[in-house]
Amino acid sequence: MNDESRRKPARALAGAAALGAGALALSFALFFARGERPPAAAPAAPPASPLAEAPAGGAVPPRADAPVAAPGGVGSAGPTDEHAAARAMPPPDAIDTEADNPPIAPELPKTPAWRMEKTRVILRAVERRAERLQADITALDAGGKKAEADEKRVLLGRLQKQVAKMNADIAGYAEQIAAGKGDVPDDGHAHEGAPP
Amino acid sequence: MPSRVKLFAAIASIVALFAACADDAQGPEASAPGVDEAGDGGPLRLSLADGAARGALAVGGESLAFASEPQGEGVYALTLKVRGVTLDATVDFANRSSSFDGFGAQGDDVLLDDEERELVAGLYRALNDRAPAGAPEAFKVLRRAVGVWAEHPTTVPLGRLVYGDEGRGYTMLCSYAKCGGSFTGSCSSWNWFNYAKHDCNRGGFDSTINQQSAQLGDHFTCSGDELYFKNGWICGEPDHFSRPQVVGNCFGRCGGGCGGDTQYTLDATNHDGCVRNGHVLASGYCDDQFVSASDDELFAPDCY
Repeated sequence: MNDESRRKPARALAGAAALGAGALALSFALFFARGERPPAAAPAAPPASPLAEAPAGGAVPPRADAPVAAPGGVGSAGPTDEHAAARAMPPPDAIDTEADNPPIAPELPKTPAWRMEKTRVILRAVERRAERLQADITALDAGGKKAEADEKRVLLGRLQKQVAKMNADIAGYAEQIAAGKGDVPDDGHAHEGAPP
Repeated sequence: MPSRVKLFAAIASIVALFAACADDAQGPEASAPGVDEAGDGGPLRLSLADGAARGALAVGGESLAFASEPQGEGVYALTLKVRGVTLDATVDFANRSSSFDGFGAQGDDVLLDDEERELVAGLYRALNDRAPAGAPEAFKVLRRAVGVWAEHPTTVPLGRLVYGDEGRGYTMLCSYAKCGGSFTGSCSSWNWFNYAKHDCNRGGFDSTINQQSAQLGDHFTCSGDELYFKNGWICGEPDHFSRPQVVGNCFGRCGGGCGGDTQYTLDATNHDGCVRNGHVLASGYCDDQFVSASDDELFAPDCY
C-alpha cells in the first residue's frame, strides 16, 4: 500500500490530547490551591561570543594597535560592538600560495556509461513509485474521492513525463556507448537536464 | 474549597474543548501525533511514524506541507507544497541518484520565485532548529532536499536529475574544515583553503577577484554572517576583492549557513565563494556552482 494514502483517526488523537491536558490542568489547580508558585525558570546564560576566545599561543602575534581579545573578554565589549570584536582577531597568516595546499585529486570523468547507470537506477525507482500511485488512484476513484484522485493524477502525469525523459536519455547514452564513446567524458549538455 | 473545585472543572473543560478541535489545525500529511514543535519561523508540526517524516510549517499566513515517504530499499518519495507549487523528488539515497521536479496545480512547469524560496528557507531553518534525535533516514533526506530547494535559483529548471559519487560528483574537504585541529570553535591556527572559485560577469575561475582564501568549518560568526579581512576583520561578505581571507558562517558547508548536516565539499565551497562574493543567493551567475553542489548536499557524507 502506498504510504502516501494512509490516514490515522483524528478522534483518538483528540482524546489523548484531552486526557493529557486534563492532567496538566489538575496539576496547575493543585499548585494554585496550595498557594505555591511554580519555580521560575533559571535565566539562560548568554551564549559565549564565538569571537570571545583569542587563539591561544598562536604563531601570529596580535596587532599592536588593536585590542587583544582576553579569554571570554570580548563578550564584555557588548553584542553591538561587532566590528571591535572582529578587529580583536589576529591578522591572517601571509597569503598562502596554491603550492601550500596539497593537490586535490581531480574527479573521475562523467561518462555516458556512468550517466546511463545512474539514470537507470532512478528510473526504476520512479517507475515503481508511479505504479503504486496508479493503484492509489484506482482505489480513490473506487471510493469516490475524486478531488484526492485528481491531485494524484497530476503527480502521476509528472512522474510519467520523467520516465519518458529518462528513457530517452538512456537511449542516447546507449548510442554513444555503441559508438565506442561510453567512457568518453561528456560536458553534461548532450542531454537536456543531465547534471554537469 | 468548593470554589476551587469549580475552578478546576472549568479549566479542564476549556482545555478539553481546545484539544478536541486540534485535528482541524493539522497539516494535510500530519496524520500521527508524533512531535509537534514550534520553530523560529512559525509553528512546525512534525510527525515521525512508520519510517516517514510528515508535517507542515505555518509561517506568515502560509502553510508548507511536506512528506518524506519510504518506498523501500533506501528510496524516498518527497513532496513539499508551497503556494500552489509542488516540489517533488524521488531519491534513491542508497545509490545516490534522484529525480527532482516542480509543478503547478495543473501539472504545468513552474520556476521558484524569491518569495517561495524564502518560505522554503524558513522550513529549512525550522527543520534544523528542531531536528529530533534519532530521526529516521526519511527526515535526513527530506532536510537535505529542502536545503537544495531553499537555495534553488529561479533560473535553474526544477525538473532535473541529481546524482553523484564521491570522486565523481563530489569531493570532500573535511580536513580544511578544521582549524587548530577542531571542526568547531575558534582557531588557534589557520588552515586556509586556496581557493574558493567561481566565474561570473566579472571574470573567469582564474581571475583573482573571483577567488577567496577560505577557512572552512564552524568557526566564528558575526551576527549570522561571515568575516573577511581587509585592513582588519570586517563583518560581512567581500565583493570581488583579490583573494581575500574569509571565515565564518560555516563557509564551505552544504546547505545554507550552519544548518543541516556537516558536509564540507569542494562544490559547496565554490558555491559559497560565489553567493558570498558580490552575488545574491539565487544569482544566475552562480547557477553552475549550485547545480554542481546539489549532489554534494544530497549524498555527501558528514565530516563529523
